[in-house]
Amino acid sequence: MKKLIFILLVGLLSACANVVKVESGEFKVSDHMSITLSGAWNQLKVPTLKPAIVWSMEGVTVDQLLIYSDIKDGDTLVPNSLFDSEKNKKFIFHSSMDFSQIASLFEAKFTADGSIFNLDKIEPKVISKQKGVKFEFSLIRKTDNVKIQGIAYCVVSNNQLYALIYQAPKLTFFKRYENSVENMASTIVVR
Amino acid sequence: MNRRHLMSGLASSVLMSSFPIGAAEQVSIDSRYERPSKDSDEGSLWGYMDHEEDKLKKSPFLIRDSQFKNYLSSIACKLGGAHCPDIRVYPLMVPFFNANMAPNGMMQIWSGLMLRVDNEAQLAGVLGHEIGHYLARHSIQHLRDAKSRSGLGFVTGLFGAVGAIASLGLAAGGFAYSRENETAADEIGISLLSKAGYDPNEFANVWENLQIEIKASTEGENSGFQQLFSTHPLPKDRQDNLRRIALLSPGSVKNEELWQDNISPYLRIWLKDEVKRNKFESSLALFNRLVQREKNKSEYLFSRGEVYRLRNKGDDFQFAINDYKAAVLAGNEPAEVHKGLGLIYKSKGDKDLAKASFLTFLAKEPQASDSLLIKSYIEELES
Repeated sequence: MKKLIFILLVGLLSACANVVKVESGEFKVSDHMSITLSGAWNQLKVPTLKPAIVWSMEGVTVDQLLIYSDIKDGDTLVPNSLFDSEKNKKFIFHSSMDFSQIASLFEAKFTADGSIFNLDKIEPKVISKQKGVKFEFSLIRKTDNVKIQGIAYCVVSNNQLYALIYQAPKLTFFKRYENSVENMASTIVVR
Repeated sequence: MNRRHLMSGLASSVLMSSFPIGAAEQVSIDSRYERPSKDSDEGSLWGYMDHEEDKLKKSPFLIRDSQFKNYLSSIACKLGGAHCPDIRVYPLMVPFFNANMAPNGMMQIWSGLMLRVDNEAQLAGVLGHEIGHYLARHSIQHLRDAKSRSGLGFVTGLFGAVGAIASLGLAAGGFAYSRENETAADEIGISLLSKAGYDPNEFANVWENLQIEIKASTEGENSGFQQLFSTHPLPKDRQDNLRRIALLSPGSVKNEELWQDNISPYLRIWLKDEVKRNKFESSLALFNRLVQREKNKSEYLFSRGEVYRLRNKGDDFQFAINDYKAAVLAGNEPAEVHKGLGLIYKSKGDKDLAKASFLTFLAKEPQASDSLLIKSYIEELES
């Protein structure tokens, strides 16, 4: 039944989603964050995907780049749902979190449906001249058993979380876009 | 036989090998079911489930440990009697409380359930209940009920005939049975449990333990249980009824030590998966119960400490430190205990304690996936 819902949801998203091309060059994510792209990406304009901005090269059912900006203390990482009340909020970011806790938060988000997550490597990374973190992960997606590989860059600036998270099937797709994401991460500017 | 009569007479009938499930139907444990004709609705459902089973065999979530699988199968076989050859058990690494049995004999047992049962008798109780659904052919009843409510017309219109069987098959696989079906499966399950010599009270204990977690969980955390309770509603009267029947049924085997021995290779992974669920309140209720049951088990103390550390509310850091330290005292603690201590000490500004804890962690786990991050913390503490 879950698969059926997943297919319907993806179908519905595809039908409703407004996909726009993001051209290469500087892209202003928010007043406090910008990135520079060396090539074009597709951005899904779906209001229910907030707080993340969702980009893709091959389509969201294949690969996803999630961009988080200005996530304040007490904000949630998951899209607002019609079924969520204030006290129903999950995956909440706290500015006091260390990088291990932030990685655990994303891990919890990715495994909420029973998917298997493995944190392959987490290391310090300077992002926009600030102490940040890079982590690599693998995931077996519960909905379709597809093996996913992922890479994430996170930094906390002025008590707000900024992150780029890319995930794609391990077979073929991840390697195809890994460098492009890596280059993009090196251009993150957080003001 | 009226169901009420069945229940009151259950104590004397537990050694029977057939169970009345309705005015005209009897469930027999002594004879296996023949495969239904492919042309029938039941045959289509079996066919669909065979296809699902083929996929399940290749699933990366499957625990591919023949010894463990055989152990679980032996429990199912003790309960299933003559149906044993038709029951195929698949343990899965899914951190939710669930087990189910498809009409073709495919039985899934999820790790979230196995983490929560205290002994073999408790698992047997849940499996007996699922075998009860199988013996009483509740899934085909469910399919026919859906058809008679003209649901099939709607589904067929959307997905075609094959899709209709598939979606209803999935519904049956998700096993949203009626309350009557659940009560009947409880009765059959307890009878099977008792007949196999297990203590039937342990089945009632499973639900009571789960209720503790549900009561503790916040509104946002209930989703983990919805999976089970949307399909296995457990109103108070049903729970009371279960306890009443259990008290009337003989059986004393629990096999707690045997169960704990068999799950020990997986315990740390399952506990880690539970922590990852990020459902702090219900996980704490579970870990409190496990710590209460075995006060000196470092894995339980560590897991509870992890939840306190990640929740970080009020005095949580101190509770986490207490648990981590108790885990160290208990011995054979996971290396991550020391990382947890280091992260809390670092956050509190206790530089020396933080550094010492991180160094202990790295000494125990030099190849840890976060070793570079931890080393950077040490450098930061030294500067």
